[in-house]
Amino acid sequence: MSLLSQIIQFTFSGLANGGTYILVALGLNIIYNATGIINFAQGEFAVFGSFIMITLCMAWGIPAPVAFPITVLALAGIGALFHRTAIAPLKKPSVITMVIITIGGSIFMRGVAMLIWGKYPQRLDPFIDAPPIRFMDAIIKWDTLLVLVIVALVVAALYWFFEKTVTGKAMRACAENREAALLMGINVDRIVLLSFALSAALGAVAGVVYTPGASMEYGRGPYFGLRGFEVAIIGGLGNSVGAVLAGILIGLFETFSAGFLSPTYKEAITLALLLLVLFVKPSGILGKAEVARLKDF
Amino acid sequence: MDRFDWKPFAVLSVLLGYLFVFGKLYTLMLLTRAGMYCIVTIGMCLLVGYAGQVSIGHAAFYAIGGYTSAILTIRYGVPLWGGLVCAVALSCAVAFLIGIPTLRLRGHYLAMATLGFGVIVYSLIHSSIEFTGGSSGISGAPPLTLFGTNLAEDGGIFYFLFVWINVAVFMLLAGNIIRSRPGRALMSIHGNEEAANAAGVNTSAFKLKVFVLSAGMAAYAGFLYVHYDGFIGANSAELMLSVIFVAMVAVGGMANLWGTLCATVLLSLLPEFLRRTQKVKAADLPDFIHNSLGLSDTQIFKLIQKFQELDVLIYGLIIIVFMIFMPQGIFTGTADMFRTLARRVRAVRGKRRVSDAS
Amino acid sequence: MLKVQSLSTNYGNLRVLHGVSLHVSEGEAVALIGANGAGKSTLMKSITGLLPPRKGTIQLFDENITAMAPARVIRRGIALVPEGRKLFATLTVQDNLMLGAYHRYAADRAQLDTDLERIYEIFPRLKERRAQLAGTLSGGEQQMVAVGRALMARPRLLLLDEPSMGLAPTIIEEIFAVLGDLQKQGLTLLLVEQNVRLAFAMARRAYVLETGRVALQGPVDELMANKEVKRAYLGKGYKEVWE
Ligand SMILES: Nc1ncnc2c1ncn2[C@@H]1O[C@H](COP(=O)(O)OP(=O)(O)O)[C@@H](O)[C@H]1O
Ligand SMILES: [Mg+2]
Repeated sequence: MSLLSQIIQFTFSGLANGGTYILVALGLNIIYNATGIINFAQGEFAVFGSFIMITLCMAWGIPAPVAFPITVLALAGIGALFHRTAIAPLKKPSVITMVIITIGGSIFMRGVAMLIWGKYPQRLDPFIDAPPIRFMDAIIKWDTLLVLVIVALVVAALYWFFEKTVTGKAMRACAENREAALLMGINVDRIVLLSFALSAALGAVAGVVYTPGASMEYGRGPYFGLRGFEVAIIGGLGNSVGAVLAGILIGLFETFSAGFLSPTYKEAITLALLLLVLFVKPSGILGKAEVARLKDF
Repeated sequence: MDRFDWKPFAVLSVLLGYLFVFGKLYTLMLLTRAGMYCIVTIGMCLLVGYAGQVSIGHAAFYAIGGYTSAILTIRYGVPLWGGLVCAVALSCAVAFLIGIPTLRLRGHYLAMATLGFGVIVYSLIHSSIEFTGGSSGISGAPPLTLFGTNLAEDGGIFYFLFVWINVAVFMLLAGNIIRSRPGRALMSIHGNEEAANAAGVNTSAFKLKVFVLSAGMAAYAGFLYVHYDGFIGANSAELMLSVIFVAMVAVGGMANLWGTLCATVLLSLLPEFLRRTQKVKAADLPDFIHNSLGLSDTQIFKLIQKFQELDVLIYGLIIIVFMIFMPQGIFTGTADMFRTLARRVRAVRGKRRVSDAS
Repeated sequence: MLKVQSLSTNYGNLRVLHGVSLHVSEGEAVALIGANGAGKSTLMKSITGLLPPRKGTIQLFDENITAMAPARVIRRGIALVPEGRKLFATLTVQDNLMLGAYHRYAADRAQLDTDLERIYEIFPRLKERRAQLAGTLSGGEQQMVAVGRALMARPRLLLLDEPSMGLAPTIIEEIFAVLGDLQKQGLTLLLVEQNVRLAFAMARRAYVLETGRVALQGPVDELMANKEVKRAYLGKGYKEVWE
């Protein structure tokens, strides 16, 4: 394979992975913006999404276009339940207790996933079962393209939600100033609940687009979560435009470093980037935190 | 707080003494492990509970300690004490280097940085197969000997004692640190750094010291572990273990050494407890379970088998439940509960007496 | 219209209001003055339901609205322009105004554009800046957005918490002119101010709050004549009179 076709190959798989990470990171941002909480269980939403999709498609034979929305709705419910049972009852929330409690939630969900779907990886058939596109020796699966389209659509839909709908604006208002939002008659508690549901739904989409042609196992949550954190931090916590850029960046960085540097140390290299950004510029690549917040959608 | 609080030590000694005399070997082994975890969590308690710095990567230091000593003693024939010194020194050095930039971060950023660090160490251990044995780990570490006795002999009774003496020493040490000037300053203002700095306490130096100390303690525990078991694998650096360490401190009530100790012992026995339940036979179960559930013996057997996989789930549940209902921790929380209970009982009795009299 | 009776409110264990009573009649403008930390903002929060009181009652017409959730209070026609404006800085001016009408968004959709136009008539400057992020406006413009946002709720009673704070005199004049017009059109006002002259120019009656208690109350001209008020609130110009 020539260098050029390798580059093409890596670019596509990097973008597809990056797309998944973007979705996880956007989910993190939504909860962070509405509540100031970083949800350490975000990766588990992706795992659940993937497993539910696998069950619906592989075990129950429901066609993917039908199973997909069902999965997303199911996760929205799980997200809401997570908020009601683990987050809402907390009397004195502090950052430390929130970190620990969402970690507790993630472990719990991991345990549930293991109980329901077992310890072994499970497979999901490709969505589009057609021969892959060959382009100068590079092999591009149709599913990869589908992932890119889905991620683009979801990002566009989110943009529309936060820019054009009153509920979306109310959610931003809660994030911005809780007290003023209450004065407007916004039911902040319900909006926060909605943010958890939306965030979990995004996690589900991430899990679903990640899986076809690959497999899922119960312990993958932290992987998604870590990539999501990395993207969210590098893009600037709470900044969704930044998350999209950072997601593309990390996806490409990961595949290219695995391809050209060392596949063995891919994980360590990619995470080292997270530490580097945290140490050098914790507010993310888009500059100052205040500016980043103004650019938020 | 200035006087030495001997009561908990007395209770602990009696318990340990009882176990030493009457305990089964297997129980001793479990408690030896729990003691090693205690050494880690005492350090973590200082770090998370008192200095207010979350770390979700402390298993990395535990693993660094274990692996360093194992590799040096097995491959290079370094004597045990050399392995120990190198293990602790390396871990402290890494903690120092990582701690300088990391401890500038706060809240979520700090949690994520330590998490990232922990996972990096795990993946390095997992991937450097020539060096660490990858997923198959390293075995054959020489057993710990002291004054010419192999501590692991005789079912490890001496090892058990040795580890718990260590725990006691570290408890004393930790108590002294808490009572030291910077420790008191930090505690009295509940980790409010601005106030501490204003009071003339250099909090960043103190945080770094505590971080390095806790890393050293974790490494020491890793060292104790590898020369007890003879084996160490990549799972010693796993994220889950780091999380369990934090959970132990949280369940203990954060800034509460004795609570942490309690929680550590209980939580480290939990998987074993669940594993025991697996041995229950379906036929042993009372009839009403069969009848009310309408399940066959094989189905119940499968359910019971599943039960042992519950440890992950139950860990999660315990963390959530404690954070919500007993944020003051297992020690203070239980005491509070009994106190409220006693007050209620007294109130009821009082009422009765009043109504009897009238 | 609004009747507050022996209201006590805490922050945690700290009692800030100690049995405050006041009333506002329909169409009236009432001023509430008092030093920093007297509890004026706390009273506003208690009325709007942000901080439920521990004791006492709040009545709007015949309904008891004590400790009602803010979302329900605003539906009954009480809107607050909070201290420090509290705009949604990363939303546009128009979005801020629209969110003011959030509680009647679904029911009143057809009406909203007309209402918005009305706000733009009142504050023409906001129309020019409708697409700008609220956080990038000047202080005076931000206060206009805050007032406009509260008006979008179509309140019967408008509470204002120090609307003149930190603003240039010309802007203050502009905003108070608007408030005066609104009052003439029948809006009831409860105005919290540190700038007593301003408040007294607008209101007929006033209450003086001191460390969580109503220290004085009465018609504005009577209070103007009161030595205590002069000394404490009316400042230098009156000093010679006092001395
Ligand atoms: N969020 C709060 N938490 C605790 N105490 C508060 C809080 N807000 C105000 N206070 C206290 O309540 C008292 C009254 O405050 P406030 O109502 O804001 O006064 P004013 O608006 O009259 O200046 C002050 O002593 C202040 O310190
Ligand atoms: Mg005030």
